[in-house]
Amino acid sequence: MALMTVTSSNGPPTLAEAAAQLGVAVEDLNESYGVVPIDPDKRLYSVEVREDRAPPTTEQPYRGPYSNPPIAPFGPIEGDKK
Amino acid sequence: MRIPVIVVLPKQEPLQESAAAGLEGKAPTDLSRARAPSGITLDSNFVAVPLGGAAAKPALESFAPERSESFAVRGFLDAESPEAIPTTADGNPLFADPRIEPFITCGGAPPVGDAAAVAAKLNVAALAAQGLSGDGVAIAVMDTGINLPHLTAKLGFAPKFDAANSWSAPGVPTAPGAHPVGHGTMCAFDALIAAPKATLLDFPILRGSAPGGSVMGGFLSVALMGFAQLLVNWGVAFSPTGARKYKALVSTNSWGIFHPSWDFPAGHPGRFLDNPNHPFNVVVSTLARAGADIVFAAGNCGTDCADGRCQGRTRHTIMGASAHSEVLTIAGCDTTDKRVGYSSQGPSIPGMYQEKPDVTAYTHFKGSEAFGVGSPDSGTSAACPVAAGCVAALRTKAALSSVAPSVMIQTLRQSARAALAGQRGWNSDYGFGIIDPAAAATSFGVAAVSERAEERVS
Repeated sequence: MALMTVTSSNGPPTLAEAAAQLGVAVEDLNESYGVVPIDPDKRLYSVEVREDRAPPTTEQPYRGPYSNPPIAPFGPIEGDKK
Repeated sequence: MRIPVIVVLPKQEPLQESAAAGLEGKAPTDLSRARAPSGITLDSNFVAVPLGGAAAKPALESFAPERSESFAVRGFLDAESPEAIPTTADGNPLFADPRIEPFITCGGAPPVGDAAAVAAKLNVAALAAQGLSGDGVAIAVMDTGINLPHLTAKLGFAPKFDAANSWSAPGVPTAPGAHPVGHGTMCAFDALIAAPKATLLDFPILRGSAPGGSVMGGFLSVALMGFAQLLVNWGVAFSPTGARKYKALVSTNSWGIFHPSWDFPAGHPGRFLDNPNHPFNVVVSTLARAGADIVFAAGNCGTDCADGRCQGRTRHTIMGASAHSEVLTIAGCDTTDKRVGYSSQGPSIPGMYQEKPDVTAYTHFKGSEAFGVGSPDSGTSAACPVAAGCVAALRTKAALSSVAPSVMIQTLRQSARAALAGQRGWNSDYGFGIIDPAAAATSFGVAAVSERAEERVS
């Protein structure tokens, strides 16, 4: 899944509204992830989109796809290289 | 060039006097009366050391100053280069006197000190005496989840815990406070060293992506969900402008990315590591703007003994949210104040805030034993919650209305204790120095407990 952003001036958009904004089917969004607020002041929200359905990246402002890399704890140390 | 050497000299009265003074704990005596080889200047700041009798295995009694046949003394000689150093001086053997330093702490090393030593280093008793114990402050542990029974057993008391305002990541079957013992429990323990009366919030962001909840990693999108939930909680459920439940919120984050290959390629507009516009970096800004203090570990890719997952890459390894301008970024040192060899060094990745780490905190000590009896709380993973606990302790009295998160960061930088002789300003190993919550408290005017003002970094 790739991260993308959507905007809404009337509070958090529904999943269907987010899908329409991105030009994808609602089934292409991760329903369990939902619509996640990232900056309410800017009315900015995040959704997860199937990577093979993520729309092109030519639009401005850039809305994604953004990377969703693995993350790991910074400890304990594994196999340090001296 | 002036080269320090150790020279072995036959017995003579000034050397016997010097050795006797050393054994009695007295100040070194003057060695100017001793017969020194030509070209050697003896160092009167060091006592002569008796080497015993002439036998191959001298008897113990022969090491008494009055009985010893020879003595080792420190001196200096002048030589054009190291290759020009003679092996003897007037027939007396010369030996090197090289600089020695303690071995740097790396992964796999045993603990260096314990949680009590960390508390002493942070002047926690003095903080507590001033009422700076974290009472009324929430610490959100963004990690693998907390195990309260283990934590209670190791702390010796039941910590304050807010299950209602904790979070359950999708797919994680265990309840807040009931997760397997591991990294998150270690972080919770370490956060309470300086702030034992703070309230823990459990945000198991590293357990939400794999079936059953992986205990050793997740995906950034889950962390984003956790941060968004924390934002909602802080803004609504315990709003500082509404029904005030907590004075302040501290978010401790001992996680990140070990290598850029985990992310989109360099130059991609959706990349995370060097992109302030990535949604996760945006939500970090939003939470900071809402008044939360956000603390991140610098990472474990230090030059001396980087974690294997760094793949040998040790430059610009403070990346992503760890290099965010609105978080407090923490390097690690052991309880002797020496940087641990795996602690990532600055400057951070180009494109992000460069002067990272901000400050250094303690790690690699015996604490939670979350990874087994005798195992250290290690990594910048441990240093980060230690620092977060310091912030929580300060927040007991340093109100958000007068001390914004940015001011908290700036004050902790300015009040940090110099880690290196003559350190002024930012340093790539330690940032602005070792965190000194007592000095910060003095700066805020909420306590007057600093005993180290003369060591302050300007």
